[in-house]
Amino acid sequence: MNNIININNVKKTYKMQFPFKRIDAVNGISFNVDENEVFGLLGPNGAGKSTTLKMLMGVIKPNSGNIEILSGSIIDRNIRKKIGFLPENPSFYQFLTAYETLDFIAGLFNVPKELKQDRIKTLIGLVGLSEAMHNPVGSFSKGMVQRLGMAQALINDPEILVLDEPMSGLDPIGRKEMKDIILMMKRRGKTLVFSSHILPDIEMLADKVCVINKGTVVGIGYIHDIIKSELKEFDIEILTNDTINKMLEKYKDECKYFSIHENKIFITITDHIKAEEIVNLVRDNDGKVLSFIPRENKLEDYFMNLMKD
Amino acid sequence: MKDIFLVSNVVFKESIRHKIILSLIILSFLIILSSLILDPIALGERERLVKDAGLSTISLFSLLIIILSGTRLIYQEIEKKTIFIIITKPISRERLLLGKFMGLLLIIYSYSLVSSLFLAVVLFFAKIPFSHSLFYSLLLITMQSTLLSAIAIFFASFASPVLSGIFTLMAYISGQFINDIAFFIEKSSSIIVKIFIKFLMLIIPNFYYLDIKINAVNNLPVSANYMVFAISYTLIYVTLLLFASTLIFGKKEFY
Repeated sequence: MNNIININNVKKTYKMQFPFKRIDAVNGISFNVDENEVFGLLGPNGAGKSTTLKMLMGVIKPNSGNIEILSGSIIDRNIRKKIGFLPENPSFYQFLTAYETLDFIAGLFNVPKELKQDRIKTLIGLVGLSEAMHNPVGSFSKGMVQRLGMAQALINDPEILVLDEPMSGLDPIGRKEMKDIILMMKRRGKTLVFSSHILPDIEMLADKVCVINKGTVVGIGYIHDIIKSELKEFDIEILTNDTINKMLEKYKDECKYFSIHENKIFITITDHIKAEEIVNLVRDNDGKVLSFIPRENKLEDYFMNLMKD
Repeated sequence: MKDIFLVSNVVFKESIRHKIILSLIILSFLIILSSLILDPIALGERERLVKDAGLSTISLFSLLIIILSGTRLIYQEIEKKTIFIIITKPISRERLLLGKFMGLLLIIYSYSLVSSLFLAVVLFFAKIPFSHSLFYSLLLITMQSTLLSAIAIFFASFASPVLSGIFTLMAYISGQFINDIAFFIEKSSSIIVKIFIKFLMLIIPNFYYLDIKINAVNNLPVSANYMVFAISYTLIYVTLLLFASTLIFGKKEFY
Protein backbone atom coordinates (compact mmCIF):
# COMPACT_ATOMS: atom_id res chain seq x y z
CA MET A 1 0.00 0.00 0.00
CA ASN A 2 1.09 3.57 -0.67
CA ASN A 3 1.97 5.98 2.09
CA ILE A 4 -0.09 9.05 1.40
CA ILE A 5 0.72 10.87 4.60
CA ASN A 6 4.28 10.94 5.96
CA ILE A 7 4.99 12.78 9.17
CA ASN A 8 8.66 12.74 10.03
CA ASN A 9 10.16 13.91 13.34
CA VAL A 10 7.84 16.89 13.64
CA LYS A 11 8.25 19.27 16.57
CA LYS A 12 6.17 22.21 17.69
CA THR A 13 6.82 24.55 20.58
CA TYR A 14 4.30 27.17 21.61
CA LYS A 15 5.68 30.41 22.95
CA MET A 16 3.36 31.96 25.50
CA GLN A 17 3.13 35.74 25.52
CA PHE A 18 3.14 35.95 29.29
CA PRO A 19 4.82 34.59 31.45
CA PHE A 20 7.04 33.88 28.41
CA LYS A 21 7.00 30.12 28.87
CA ARG A 22 7.73 27.64 26.09
CA ILE A 23 5.54 24.58 25.83
CA ASP A 24 6.64 21.58 23.78
CA ALA A 25 3.26 20.54 22.36
CA VAL A 26 4.71 18.04 19.89
CA ASN A 27 8.16 16.64 20.43
CA GLY A 28 9.37 14.62 17.45
CA ILE A 29 6.31 12.77 16.17
CA SER A 30 6.67 10.41 13.19
CA PHE A 31 4.10 8.17 11.52
CA ASN A 32 2.82 7.16 8.09
CA VAL A 33 -0.72 6.67 6.88
CA ASP A 34 -1.45 4.27 4.05
CA GLU A 35 -4.00 4.75 1.31
CA ASN A 36 -7.54 3.57 2.21
CA GLU A 37 -6.57 3.25 5.85
CA VAL A 38 -8.47 4.51 8.87
CA PHE A 39 -5.82 5.92 11.14
CA GLY A 40 -6.65 6.81 14.73
CA LEU A 41 -4.68 9.24 16.83
CA LEU A 42 -5.26 8.32 20.46
CA GLY A 43 -4.09 10.15 23.52
CA PRO A 44 -5.21 11.88 26.68
CA ASN A 45 -6.25 15.54 26.64
CA GLY A 46 -3.26 17.78 25.92
CA ALA A 47 -1.23 14.94 24.39
CA GLY A 48 -0.61 16.84 21.14
CA LYS A 49 -3.25 15.25 18.87
CA SER A 50 -4.88 18.50 17.75
CA THR A 51 -1.53 20.24 17.27
CA THR A 52 -0.41 17.34 15.07
CA LEU A 53 -3.57 17.54 12.96
CA LYS A 54 -3.30 21.33 12.72
CA MET A 55 0.25 20.96 11.43
CA LEU A 56 -0.91 18.29 9.00
CA MET A 57 -3.55 20.72 7.71
CA GLY A 58 -1.13 23.68 7.53
CA VAL A 59 -2.95 25.76 10.14
CA ILE A 60 0.30 26.00 12.11
CA LYS A 61 3.85 25.41 10.97
CA PRO A 62 6.13 22.90 12.69
CA ASN A 63 9.37 24.22 14.21
CA SER A 64 11.21 21.31 12.62
CA GLY A 65 10.52 18.06 10.81
CA ASN A 66 8.75 17.28 7.59
CA ILE A 67 5.11 16.66 6.65
CA GLU A 68 4.21 15.22 3.27
CA ILE A 69 0.65 14.62 2.12
CA LEU A 70 -0.34 13.11 -1.25
CA SER A 71 3.36 13.39 -2.24
CA GLY A 72 3.34 17.14 -1.77
CA SER A 73 2.76 19.94 0.69
CA ILE A 74 -0.50 21.07 2.23
CA ILE A 75 0.35 24.61 1.06
CA ASP A 76 -0.44 23.41 -2.48
CA ARG A 77 -4.05 24.38 -3.25
CA ASN A 78 -4.49 21.38 -5.54
CA ILE A 79 -3.65 19.05 -2.67
CA ARG A 80 -6.03 20.87 -0.32
CA LYS A 81 -8.79 20.32 -2.89
CA LYS A 82 -8.50 16.58 -2.16
CA ILE A 83 -8.75 16.86 1.62
CA GLY A 84 -11.71 17.33 3.94
CA PHE A 85 -11.07 18.65 7.43
CA LEU A 86 -13.23 18.81 10.52
CA PRO A 87 -11.52 20.83 13.27
CA GLU A 88 -12.12 20.20 16.96
CA ASN A 89 -15.26 22.09 18.08
CA PRO A 90 -15.92 23.63 14.65
CA SER A 91 -17.42 27.08 14.35
CA PHE A 92 -19.22 28.80 11.50
CA TYR A 93 -20.52 32.23 10.57
CA GLN A 94 -23.46 32.80 12.88
CA PHE A 95 -25.74 34.68 10.47
CA LEU A 96 -25.40 32.26 7.56
CA THR A 97 -27.78 29.34 7.23
CA ALA A 98 -26.50 25.75 7.04
CA TYR A 99 -27.25 25.73 3.30
CA GLU A 100 -25.43 29.04 2.72
CA THR A 101 -22.45 27.78 4.73
CA LEU A 102 -22.11 24.64 2.61
CA ASP A 103 -22.72 26.65 -0.56
CA PHE A 104 -19.86 28.99 0.39
CA ILE A 105 -17.47 26.12 1.16
CA ALA A 106 -18.47 24.23 -1.99
CA GLY A 107 -17.63 27.42 -3.88
CA LEU A 108 -14.14 27.50 -2.36
CA PHE A 109 -13.64 23.94 -3.63
CA ASN A 110 -14.98 24.96 -7.03
CA VAL A 111 -17.63 22.23 -6.94
CA PRO A 112 -19.40 22.42 -10.34
CA LYS A 113 -22.69 24.29 -10.25
CA GLU A 114 -24.69 21.34 -11.60
CA LEU A 115 -23.45 19.10 -8.75
CA LYS A 116 -23.45 21.63 -5.95
CA GLN A 117 -27.13 21.83 -5.04
CA ASP A 118 -27.65 18.06 -5.03
CA ARG A 119 -24.49 17.44 -3.05
CA ILE A 120 -25.38 20.03 -0.42
CA LYS A 121 -28.86 18.57 0.03
CA THR A 122 -27.52 14.99 0.15
CA LEU A 123 -24.94 15.88 2.78
CA ILE A 124 -27.41 17.87 4.85
CA GLY A 125 -29.67 14.82 4.80
CA LEU A 126 -26.78 12.50 5.63
CA VAL A 127 -25.89 14.45 8.78
CA GLY A 128 -29.55 14.86 9.75
CA LEU A 129 -29.93 18.61 9.34
CA SER A 130 -32.61 18.68 6.62
CA GLU A 131 -35.18 20.43 8.81
CA ALA A 132 -32.70 23.08 9.95
CA MET A 133 -31.20 23.63 6.49
CA HIS A 134 -32.41 27.22 6.20
CA ASN A 135 -31.87 28.21 9.83
CA PRO A 136 -28.94 30.44 10.80
CA VAL A 137 -26.03 28.51 12.29
CA GLY A 138 -26.14 30.84 15.30
CA SER A 139 -29.33 29.07 16.42
CA PHE A 140 -27.74 25.58 16.24
CA SER A 141 -26.88 23.37 19.22
CA LYS A 142 -23.32 22.08 19.65
CA GLY A 143 -24.28 18.72 18.19
CA MET A 144 -25.87 20.34 15.13
CA VAL A 145 -22.74 22.44 14.55
CA GLN A 146 -20.67 19.25 14.76
CA ARG A 147 -22.94 17.61 12.15
CA LEU A 148 -22.57 20.65 9.88
CA GLY A 149 -18.82 20.37 10.43
CA MET A 150 -18.92 16.82 9.11
CA ALA A 151 -21.01 17.88 6.10
CA GLN A 152 -18.53 20.62 5.15
CA ALA A 153 -15.64 18.17 5.47
CA LEU A 154 -17.33 15.94 2.87
CA ILE A 155 -18.45 18.67 0.46
CA ASN A 156 -15.51 18.14 -1.94
CA ASP A 157 -15.83 14.31 -1.91
CA PRO A 158 -12.30 14.18 -0.45
CA GLU A 159 -9.66 11.49 -0.91
CA ILE A 160 -8.42 12.09 2.61
CA LEU A 161 -10.64 12.98 5.54
CA VAL A 162 -8.99 14.50 8.61
CA LEU A 163 -11.27 14.63 11.64
CA ASP A 164 -10.29 16.15 14.96
CA GLU A 165 -12.46 14.65 17.72
CA PRO A 166 -15.41 14.00 15.37
CA MET A 167 -17.70 12.61 18.08
CA SER A 168 -17.24 15.58 20.42
CA GLY A 169 -20.45 17.24 21.61
CA LEU A 170 -22.76 14.63 20.09
CA ASP A 171 -25.55 12.78 21.83
CA PRO A 172 -25.68 8.94 21.58
CA ILE A 173 -27.74 9.07 18.36
CA GLY A 174 -25.38 11.63 16.87
CA ARG A 175 -22.36 9.54 17.84
CA LYS A 176 -23.87 6.49 16.19
CA GLU A 177 -24.65 8.47 13.02
CA MET A 178 -21.14 9.95 12.93
CA LYS A 179 -19.61 6.49 13.33
CA ASP A 180 -21.83 5.23 10.50
CA ILE A 181 -20.59 8.06 8.25
CA ILE A 182 -16.96 7.22 9.07
CA LEU A 183 -17.60 3.54 8.35
CA MET A 184 -19.34 4.48 5.09
CA MET A 185 -16.29 6.55 4.05
CA LYS A 186 -14.08 3.59 4.98
CA ARG A 187 -16.17 1.30 2.73
CA ARG A 188 -15.86 3.84 -0.09
CA GLY A 189 -12.08 3.48 0.14
CA LYS A 190 -11.32 6.90 1.60
CA THR A 191 -8.32 7.48 3.79
CA LEU A 192 -9.30 8.73 7.21
CA VAL A 193 -7.21 10.24 9.96
CA PHE A 194 -9.07 11.01 13.14
CA SER A 195 -8.19 11.86 16.69
CA SER A 196 -10.00 10.78 19.80
CA HIS A 197 -9.45 10.17 23.47
CA ILE A 198 -12.33 7.69 23.52
CA LEU A 199 -10.93 4.16 23.31
CA PRO A 200 -14.01 2.28 22.04
CA ASP A 201 -14.34 4.75 19.13
CA ILE A 202 -10.77 4.09 18.00
CA GLU A 203 -11.18 0.35 18.59
CA MET A 204 -14.34 0.23 16.52
CA LEU A 205 -13.32 2.48 13.62
CA ALA A 206 -9.55 2.48 13.14
CA ASP A 207 -7.36 0.04 11.24
CA LYS A 208 -4.24 1.46 12.80
CA VAL A 209 -3.73 3.42 15.99
CA CYS A 210 -1.01 5.80 17.05
CA VAL A 211 -0.90 6.53 20.76
CA ILE A 212 0.46 9.96 21.65
CA ASN A 213 1.37 11.18 25.10
CA LYS A 214 3.17 14.37 26.10
CA GLY A 215 3.88 15.19 22.46
CA THR A 216 5.57 11.92 21.54
CA VAL A 217 4.44 8.67 19.93
CA VAL A 218 4.41 6.04 22.67
CA GLY A 219 2.92 3.23 20.60
CA ILE A 220 1.74 2.51 17.09
CA GLY A 221 0.25 -0.57 15.47
CA TYR A 222 -2.63 -2.24 13.72
CA ILE A 223 -5.72 -2.72 15.87
CA HIS A 224 -5.94 -6.44 14.98
CA ASP A 225 -2.39 -6.94 16.27
CA ILE A 226 -3.06 -5.01 19.45
CA ILE A 227 -6.36 -6.68 20.26
CA LYS A 228 -5.03 -10.23 20.15
CA SER A 229 -7.54 -13.05 19.81
CA GLU A 230 -6.01 -14.93 22.75
CA LEU A 231 -7.92 -14.72 26.00
CA LYS A 232 -6.61 -12.46 28.68
CA GLU A 233 -8.45 -13.54 31.83
CA PHE A 234 -11.59 -15.20 33.18
CA ASP A 235 -14.19 -13.83 35.58
CA ILE A 236 -15.84 -16.67 37.54
CA GLU A 237 -18.78 -16.42 39.93
CA ILE A 238 -19.38 -19.48 42.12
CA LEU A 239 -22.16 -20.62 44.48
CA THR A 240 -20.00 -22.20 47.19
CA ASN A 241 -19.98 -24.26 50.38
CA ASP A 242 -17.42 -24.82 53.15
CA THR A 243 -15.69 -27.72 51.32
CA ILE A 244 -15.21 -25.66 48.20
CA ASN A 245 -14.05 -22.64 50.22
CA LYS A 246 -11.30 -24.74 51.82
CA MET A 247 -10.27 -26.34 48.52
CA LEU A 248 -10.06 -23.01 46.66
CA GLU A 249 -7.72 -21.54 49.30
CA LYS A 250 -4.72 -22.97 47.38
CA TYR A 251 -5.67 -20.94 44.27
CA LYS A 252 -5.98 -17.66 46.13
CA ASP A 253 -2.44 -16.43 45.42
CA GLU A 254 -2.74 -17.24 41.71
CA CYS A 255 -5.93 -15.22 41.28
CA LYS A 256 -5.89 -11.62 40.15
CA TYR A 257 -8.99 -11.11 42.27
CA PHE A 258 -10.48 -13.39 44.95
CA SER A 259 -13.38 -12.44 47.17
CA ILE A 260 -15.94 -14.36 49.29
CA HIS A 261 -19.36 -12.81 50.01
CA GLU A 262 -21.74 -14.99 52.00
CA ASN A 263 -22.19 -18.12 49.86
CA LYS A 264 -20.57 -16.70 46.70
CA ILE A 265 -17.00 -16.47 45.48
CA PHE A 266 -15.84 -13.98 42.83
CA ILE A 267 -12.61 -14.85 41.04
CA THR A 268 -10.55 -13.27 38.24
CA ILE A 269 -7.76 -15.52 37.02
CA THR A 270 -5.46 -15.32 33.98
CA ASP A 271 -4.33 -18.97 33.72
CA HIS A 272 -6.93 -20.85 31.66
CA ILE A 273 -5.84 -24.32 32.95
CA LYS A 274 -6.30 -23.19 36.54
CA ALA A 275 -9.64 -21.66 35.59
CA GLU A 276 -10.83 -25.01 34.24
CA GLU A 277 -9.54 -26.79 37.39
CA ILE A 278 -11.58 -24.42 39.56
CA VAL A 279 -14.73 -25.02 37.51
CA ASN A 280 -14.29 -28.83 37.75
CA LEU A 281 -13.58 -28.65 41.48
CA VAL A 282 -16.76 -26.66 42.09
CA ARG A 283 -18.90 -29.09 40.08
CA ASP A 284 -17.36 -32.16 41.80
CA ASN A 285 -18.15 -30.76 45.26
CA ASP A 286 -21.84 -29.85 44.87
CA GLY A 287 -21.16 -26.21 44.09
CA LYS A 288 -22.48 -24.23 41.15
CA VAL A 289 -20.70 -22.03 38.55
CA LEU A 290 -23.03 -19.04 38.24
CA SER A 291 -21.04 -17.35 35.51
CA PHE A 292 -17.84 -17.92 33.58
CA ILE A 293 -16.79 -14.96 31.42
CA PRO A 294 -13.65 -15.15 29.29
CA ARG A 295 -12.15 -11.68 28.65
CA GLU A 296 -10.09 -10.69 25.59
CA ASN A 297 -7.26 -8.19 25.33
CA LYS A 298 -8.68 -4.73 24.66
CA LEU A 299 -7.23 -1.52 23.34
CA GLU A 300 -7.73 -0.20 26.84
CA ASP A 301 -5.11 -2.62 28.19
CA TYR A 302 -2.65 -1.61 25.49
CA PHE A 303 -3.32 2.07 26.14
CA MET A 304 -3.09 1.79 29.91
CA ASN A 305 0.18 -0.14 29.69
CA LEU A 306 1.64 2.57 27.45
CA MET A 307 0.48 5.30 29.81
CA LYS A 308 2.08 3.47 32.76
CA ASP A 309 5.41 3.36 30.93
CA MET B 1 -11.03 35.96 -8.30
CA LYS B 2 -13.99 33.68 -7.54
CA ASP B 3 -12.74 32.78 -4.07
CA ILE B 4 -12.18 36.46 -3.20
CA PHE B 5 -15.72 37.20 -4.34
CA LEU B 6 -17.10 34.30 -2.26
CA VAL B 7 -15.40 35.55 0.90
CA SER B 8 -16.50 39.14 0.27
CA ASN B 9 -20.05 37.95 -0.29
CA VAL B 10 -20.05 36.17 3.08
CA VAL B 11 -18.64 39.27 4.83
CA PHE B 12 -21.40 41.34 3.23
CA LYS B 13 -24.17 38.90 4.15
CA GLU B 14 -22.93 38.61 7.73
CA SER B 15 -22.75 42.39 8.13
CA ILE B 16 -26.12 43.32 6.70
CA ARG B 17 -27.76 40.77 8.99
CA HIS B 18 -26.08 42.38 11.97
CA LYS B 19 -28.53 44.55 13.90
CA ILE B 20 -25.91 47.14 14.94
CA ILE B 21 -24.90 47.87 11.34
CA LEU B 22 -28.53 48.12 10.23
CA SER B 23 -29.31 50.42 13.16
CA LEU B 24 -26.38 52.67 12.24
CA ILE B 25 -27.58 52.95 8.64
CA ILE B 26 -31.14 53.83 9.72
CA LEU B 27 -29.82 56.35 12.27
CA SER B 28 -27.69 58.07 9.63
CA PHE B 29 -30.76 58.42 7.37
CA LEU B 30 -32.72 59.97 10.22
CA ILE B 31 -29.92 62.50 10.86
CA ILE B 32 -29.78 63.46 7.17
CA LEU B 33 -33.56 63.88 7.18
CA SER B 34 -33.55 65.87 10.40
CA SER B 35 -31.33 68.55 8.82
CA LEU B 36 -34.46 69.70 6.97
CA ILE B 37 -36.29 70.55 10.16
CA LEU B 38 -33.40 72.71 11.36
CA ASP B 39 -34.45 75.35 8.82
CA PRO B 40 -35.45 77.96 11.44
CA ILE B 41 -31.98 77.99 12.99
CA ALA B 42 -30.14 77.89 9.67
CA LEU B 43 -30.27 81.68 9.38
CA GLY B 44 -30.68 81.58 5.62
CA GLU B 45 -27.92 79.02 5.19
CA ARG B 46 -30.31 76.13 4.66
CA GLU B 47 -28.54 74.78 1.57
CA ARG B 48 -25.18 74.77 3.31
CA LEU B 49 -26.65 73.20 6.45
CA VAL B 50 -28.39 70.33 4.63
CA LYS B 51 -25.36 69.59 2.44
CA ASP B 52 -22.93 69.81 5.35
CA ALA B 53 -25.09 67.63 7.59
CA GLY B 54 -25.53 65.09 4.80
CA LEU B 55 -21.86 64.83 3.89
CA SER B 56 -20.66 64.81 7.51
CA THR B 57 -23.20 62.13 8.45
CA ILE B 58 -22.22 59.87 5.55
CA SER B 59 -18.53 60.35 6.39
CA LEU B 60 -18.99 59.75 10.14
CA PHE B 61 -21.23 56.72 9.78
CA SER B 62 -18.90 55.19 7.20
CA LEU B 63 -16.16 55.52 9.80
CA LEU B 64 -18.35 53.90 12.47
CA ILE B 65 -19.33 51.00 10.19
CA ILE B 66 -15.67 50.41 9.29
CA ILE B 67 -14.57 50.47 12.93
CA LEU B 68 -17.39 48.18 14.05
CA SER B 69 -17.21 45.80 11.12
CA GLY B 70 -13.69 46.01 9.75
CA THR B 71 -11.69 45.73 12.94
CA ARG B 72 -13.60 42.60 13.98
CA LEU B 73 -13.36 40.80 10.64
CA ILE B 74 -10.09 38.96 11.27
CA TYR B 75 -10.15 38.69 15.04
CA GLN B 76 -13.64 37.25 15.06
CA GLU B 77 -12.48 34.49 12.72
CA ILE B 78 -9.65 33.63 15.10
CA GLU B 79 -11.62 34.04 18.32
CA LYS B 80 -14.58 31.97 17.12
CA LYS B 81 -12.25 29.55 15.31
CA THR B 82 -14.05 29.82 11.97
CA ILE B 83 -10.55 30.40 10.59
CA PHE B 84 -9.78 26.66 10.96
CA ILE B 85 -12.60 25.84 8.55
CA ILE B 86 -11.61 28.47 5.98
CA ILE B 87 -7.81 28.36 5.79
CA THR B 88 -7.79 24.60 5.36
CA LYS B 89 -9.76 25.03 2.15
CA PRO B 90 -8.15 25.77 -1.22
CA ILE B 91 -7.85 29.51 -0.67
CA SER B 92 -4.59 31.28 0.15
CA ARG B 93 -4.40 33.46 3.23
CA GLU B 94 -3.66 36.47 1.01
CA ARG B 95 -6.83 35.94 -0.99
CA LEU B 96 -8.83 35.35 2.19
CA LEU B 97 -7.64 38.71 3.51
CA LEU B 98 -8.38 40.41 0.19
CA GLY B 99 -11.84 38.83 0.27
CA LYS B 100 -12.39 40.31 3.72
CA PHE B 101 -11.29 43.72 2.47
CA MET B 102 -13.51 43.52 -0.60
CA GLY B 103 -16.43 42.47 1.61
CA LEU B 104 -15.88 45.50 3.80
CA LEU B 105 -15.75 47.70 0.70
CA LEU B 106 -18.97 46.11 -0.52
CA ILE B 107 -20.70 47.13 2.74
CA ILE B 108 -19.23 50.63 2.69
CA TYR B 109 -19.89 51.22 -1.01
CA SER B 110 -23.46 49.97 -0.64
CA TYR B 111 -23.94 52.30 2.32
CA SER B 112 -22.32 55.21 0.44
CA LEU B 113 -24.50 54.60 -2.61
CA VAL B 114 -27.77 54.25 -0.69
CA SER B 115 -27.05 57.19 1.63
CA SER B 116 -25.93 59.38 -1.30
CA LEU B 117 -29.17 58.56 -3.11
CA PHE B 118 -31.08 59.33 0.06
CA LEU B 119 -29.26 62.67 0.36
CA ALA B 120 -30.08 63.38 -3.31
CA VAL B 121 -33.77 62.71 -2.62
CA VAL B 122 -33.68 64.96 0.46
CA LEU B 123 -32.00 67.71 -1.59
CA PHE B 124 -34.57 67.28 -4.35
CA PHE B 125 -37.50 67.78 -1.98
CA ALA B 126 -35.69 70.71 -0.36
CA LYS B 127 -35.23 72.18 -3.86
CA ILE B 128 -31.45 72.31 -3.42
CA PRO B 129 -29.42 71.57 -6.57
CA PHE B 130 -27.12 68.54 -6.60
CA SER B 131 -23.86 70.19 -7.75
CA HIS B 132 -20.77 68.66 -9.36
CA SER B 133 -18.67 69.48 -6.32
CA LEU B 134 -21.18 67.62 -4.12
CA PHE B 135 -20.81 64.57 -6.33
CA TYR B 136 -16.99 64.85 -6.14
CA SER B 137 -17.17 65.27 -2.39
CA LEU B 138 -19.26 62.08 -2.08
CA LEU B 139 -16.78 60.30 -4.34
CA LEU B 140 -13.88 61.34 -2.11
CA ILE B 141 -15.79 60.27 1.02
CA THR B 142 -15.96 56.85 -0.63
CA MET B 143 -12.19 57.05 -1.24
CA GLN B 144 -11.71 58.02 2.39
CA SER B 145 -13.75 54.96 3.40
CA THR B 146 -11.66 52.77 1.09
CA LEU B 147 -8.48 54.02 2.76
CA LEU B 148 -9.96 53.63 6.23
CA SER B 149 -11.06 50.07 5.39
CA ALA B 150 -7.51 49.21 4.36
CA ILE B 151 -6.20 50.76 7.60
CA ALA B 152 -8.75 48.77 9.63
CA ILE B 153 -7.78 45.53 7.86
CA PHE B 154 -4.09 46.31 8.39
CA PHE B 155 -4.49 46.79 12.15
CA ALA B 156 -6.92 43.88 12.38
CA SER B 157 -4.30 41.57 10.84
CA PHE B 158 -2.30 41.70 14.08
CA ALA B 159 -4.29 43.47 16.83
CA SER B 160 -7.46 42.75 18.81
CA PRO B 161 -10.72 44.48 17.72
CA VAL B 162 -10.51 47.06 20.52
CA LEU B 163 -6.90 47.94 19.77
CA SER B 164 -7.35 47.97 16.00
CA GLY B 165 -10.47 50.12 16.48
CA ILE B 166 -8.46 52.60 18.54
CA PHE B 167 -5.56 52.54 16.06
CA THR B 168 -7.90 53.09 13.11
CA LEU B 169 -9.61 55.98 14.85
CA MET B 170 -6.23 57.49 15.78
CA ALA B 171 -5.02 57.12 12.19
CA TYR B 172 -8.21 58.88 11.02
CA ILE B 173 -7.93 61.75 13.52
CA SER B 174 -4.19 62.27 13.00
CA GLY B 175 -4.78 62.05 9.23
CA GLN B 176 -7.38 64.82 9.47
CA PHE B 177 -5.07 67.17 11.31
CA ILE B 178 -1.65 66.25 9.98
CA ASN B 179 -1.53 69.30 7.70
CA ASP B 180 -2.45 71.69 10.51
CA ILE B 181 0.12 70.18 12.87
CA ALA B 182 2.74 70.26 10.13
CA PHE B 183 1.99 73.93 9.47
CA PHE B 184 2.79 74.91 13.06
CA ILE B 185 5.78 72.66 13.49
CA GLU B 186 7.33 73.85 10.22
CA LYS B 187 7.92 77.07 12.08
CA SER B 188 10.02 75.16 14.62
CA SER B 189 13.75 75.80 14.44
CA SER B 190 14.61 72.19 15.41
CA ILE B 191 15.70 70.11 12.42
CA ILE B 192 14.93 66.88 14.31
CA VAL B 193 11.31 67.96 14.85
CA LYS B 194 11.00 68.91 11.18
CA ILE B 195 12.42 65.55 10.00
CA PHE B 196 10.12 63.73 12.42
CA ILE B 197 7.07 65.57 11.08
CA LYS B 198 8.11 64.91 7.47
CA PHE B 199 8.39 61.22 8.39
CA LEU B 200 4.96 61.26 10.05
CA MET B 201 3.46 62.95 6.99
CA LEU B 202 4.89 60.15 4.91
CA ILE B 203 3.43 57.29 6.94
CA ILE B 204 0.18 58.78 8.28
CA PRO B 205 -2.52 58.80 5.62
CA ASN B 206 -3.48 62.38 4.84
CA PHE B 207 -7.27 62.47 5.00
CA TYR B 208 -7.12 66.22 4.40
CA TYR B 209 -6.63 65.44 0.69
CA LEU B 210 -9.91 63.56 0.64
CA ASP B 211 -12.01 66.14 2.40
CA ILE B 212 -13.56 68.64 -0.03
CA LYS B 213 -16.77 69.23 1.91
CA ILE B 214 -16.02 72.98 1.92
CA ASN B 215 -16.10 73.00 -1.88
CA ALA B 216 -19.37 71.07 -1.95
CA VAL B 217 -21.08 73.19 0.68
CA ASN B 218 -19.97 76.48 -0.92
CA ASN B 219 -20.44 75.26 -4.51
CA LEU B 220 -16.76 75.83 -5.29
CA PRO B 221 -15.36 74.00 -8.31
CA VAL B 222 -13.06 70.98 -7.95
CA SER B 223 -10.54 70.38 -10.71
CA ALA B 224 -10.27 67.03 -12.50
CA ASN B 225 -6.52 67.04 -11.77
CA TYR B 226 -7.20 67.26 -8.07
CA MET B 227 -9.62 64.34 -8.26
CA VAL B 228 -7.05 62.23 -10.15
CA PHE B 229 -4.42 63.10 -7.54
CA ALA B 230 -6.71 62.27 -4.59
CA ILE B 231 -7.91 58.98 -6.08
CA SER B 232 -4.35 57.94 -7.06
CA TYR B 233 -3.10 58.84 -3.57
CA THR B 234 -5.79 56.61 -2.04
CA LEU B 235 -5.17 53.69 -4.37
CA ILE B 236 -1.39 53.73 -3.81
CA TYR B 237 -1.86 53.92 -0.06
CA VAL B 238 -4.44 51.11 -0.08
CA THR B 239 -2.16 48.89 -2.18
CA LEU B 240 0.75 49.38 0.22
CA LEU B 241 -1.43 48.72 3.27
CA LEU B 242 -2.92 45.57 1.76
CA PHE B 243 0.53 44.34 0.80
CA ALA B 244 1.74 44.81 4.40
CA SER B 245 -1.45 43.20 5.78
CA THR B 246 -1.08 40.09 3.61
CA LEU B 247 2.56 39.73 4.68
CA ILE B 248 1.56 39.84 8.36
CA PHE B 249 -1.49 37.61 7.93
CA GLY B 250 0.45 35.09 5.85
CA LYS B 251 2.84 34.46 8.72
CA LYS B 252 0.23 34.39 11.44
CA GLU B 253 -0.32 31.17 13.36
CA PHE B 254 -3.71 30.13 14.71
CA TYR B 255 -3.92 28.09 17.89
